[in-house]
Amino acid sequence: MTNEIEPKVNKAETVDKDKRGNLFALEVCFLAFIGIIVVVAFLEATTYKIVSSRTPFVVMVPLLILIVIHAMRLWRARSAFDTRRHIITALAGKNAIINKVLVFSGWMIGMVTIITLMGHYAGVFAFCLILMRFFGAESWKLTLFVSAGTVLFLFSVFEIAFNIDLYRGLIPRWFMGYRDF
Amino acid sequence: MTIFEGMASGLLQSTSLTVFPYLFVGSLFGLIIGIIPGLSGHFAMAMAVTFLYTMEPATGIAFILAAHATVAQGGGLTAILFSTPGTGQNAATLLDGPPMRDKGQAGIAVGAAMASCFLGATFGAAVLALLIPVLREVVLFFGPPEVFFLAFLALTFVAVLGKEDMTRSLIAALLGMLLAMVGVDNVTNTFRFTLGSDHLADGLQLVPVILGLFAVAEMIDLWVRGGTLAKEVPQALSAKETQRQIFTGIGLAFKNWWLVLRCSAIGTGMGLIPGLGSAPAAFVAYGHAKQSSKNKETFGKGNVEGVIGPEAANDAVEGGALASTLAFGIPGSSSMAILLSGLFILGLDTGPRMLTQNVDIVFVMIFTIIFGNLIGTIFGMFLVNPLSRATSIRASVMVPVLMSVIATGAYAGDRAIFHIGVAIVFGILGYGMKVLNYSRAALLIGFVLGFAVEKNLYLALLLDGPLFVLQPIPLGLLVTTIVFLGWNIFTIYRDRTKVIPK
Repeated sequence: MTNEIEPKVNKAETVDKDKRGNLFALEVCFLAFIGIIVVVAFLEATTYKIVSSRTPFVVMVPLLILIVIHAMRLWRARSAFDTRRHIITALAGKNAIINKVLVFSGWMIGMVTIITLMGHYAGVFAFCLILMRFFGAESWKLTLFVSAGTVLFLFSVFEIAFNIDLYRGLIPRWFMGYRDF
Repeated sequence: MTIFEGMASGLLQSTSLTVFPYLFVGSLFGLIIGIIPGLSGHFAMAMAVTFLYTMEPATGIAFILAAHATVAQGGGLTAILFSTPGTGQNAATLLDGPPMRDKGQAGIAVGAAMASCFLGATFGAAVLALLIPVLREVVLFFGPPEVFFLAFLALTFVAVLGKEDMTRSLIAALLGMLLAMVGVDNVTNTFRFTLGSDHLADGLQLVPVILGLFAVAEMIDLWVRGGTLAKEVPQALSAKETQRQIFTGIGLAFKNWWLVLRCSAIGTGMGLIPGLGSAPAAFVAYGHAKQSSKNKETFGKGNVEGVIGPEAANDAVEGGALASTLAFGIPGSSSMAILLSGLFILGLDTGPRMLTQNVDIVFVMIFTIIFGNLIGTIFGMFLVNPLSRATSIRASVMVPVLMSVIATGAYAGDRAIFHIGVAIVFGILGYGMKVLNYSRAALLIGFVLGFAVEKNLYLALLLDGPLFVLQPIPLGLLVTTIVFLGWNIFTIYRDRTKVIPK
């Protein structure tokens, strides 16, 4: 009985450790990113007049101290995880969650690009259609119904109810005769 | 405007045909968002903010606050029916709600929860109304130096008392403040941290930041988790039996009026302290209900008092939280920070002016909380079965639709595609923060307070010079902040040395 349970327990422990390792590696990257931005902002602030840089310094000095303190906490805990391996695995595209986030972020950027070129309604329709059909594996019928319904909802709420014109897109605007973008 | 004039005007405005429909729609919207696990009150408010641009102040306030007011009711409903709290503040309801459901008393639990929510919210709103005369006097003592230090004290409370790690929360809070300084400095016309972009000259706009942190981040999270939101949908009760049980539950809430009153007082009191939020209030109320009950042994096994206590407390919190937000412009939670940004969008200012010149708006808020919860209670009771089906919407359907609405909302404010990009960037940042346990609430409150901190520091230095720190109230606030922070750091260090064996 014990022998049957042990491998399951070990597997669960490995999965849990791997998950914690991924989070640890992500936090190292996150903190490094924030730290670099704050240092750059600090150097940038030194070029401003003192009246303009005073409050940013009041905020950035304790912020940098806290980042250093937290980095030291992470440094002390580094031996528990193989951070480099986790980062390399993620960069190699072998981390499923990171991949999902990247794909979703990519399609959000894709939506903005389509909105810029083709207009708001085309962007929203394409976004719903691609995510539902090709990533969510929903039926064509449901996908088209929901995508068209979303466009109709946005049109009704924003354009009719709140009188907000949504962007028509560079290409349709070109055909409408606009030359100034 | 006197308080009675404000009260009459607030009542008339909130029941007028121009405001009430928005209050009604907001209540239903909040109820549905509350029912869907993973979508919180912040999400409801963030979505509601996008519609404020074209609204009148009373209409906008009624819409956004009604959406927020009913979230806890929806969350309580799913906590009881599916053991899945729609929002974190309903977690305490899990202790006795599901056991009641398992005993075949789901309707009683739902009825008691809904009625307690309404009574708790009414209590909180009444306390807020009673506090207005006091706040009017107190707020006059708060000039730029006091507000400057009060902002730091509130941020410290949020960072320390929140559920996240203290260092991470403080980093988030200060990062939020730094982000508020992007844009042209009003005093010297210097372009600060704009990266040469004209879009950033006016600074980062609140709406795309809020949408990114609380709406886009939730969408990424739902997309990554995938699947259906409700894992198990229990057999629905018959309509007749449900209604009978619900009315019994309402009766029990009124029968336990003294418990409702005590737990509401706990909720309102905890709401006044920035950073505590409604989840701890609900657990404290649960503990109190258990401690003061004659049937302690039945708690956790389906005691209706274990549902009434936390549900009354988590809705009563709003009254207390609104008091500090409106009087000092210092939000105690991310919901209040979003509400504050909504007030900015609607052209309303907090502080003495709000409590003297716009006291009618304060009463619109008070009546919105009461009416919103009443609408939520009525619809929650009668639409238990159909509303609960909202939990079975698949993430693969819901995420693209909601993300489209979010992107449109980000665009609608300034008609700028750039703001959709800002929402996406903050969405990714918000998701990272959520996963890594960095407080998004602290970042947002820091961001909202960043404007106030800079303005008040400038004015304090201009009016009183660098020694403004030594004035009694600012000094008191500074000492309180340092002592509070120092004590918490000490306790963390003490606990760590106790836990780690030598």
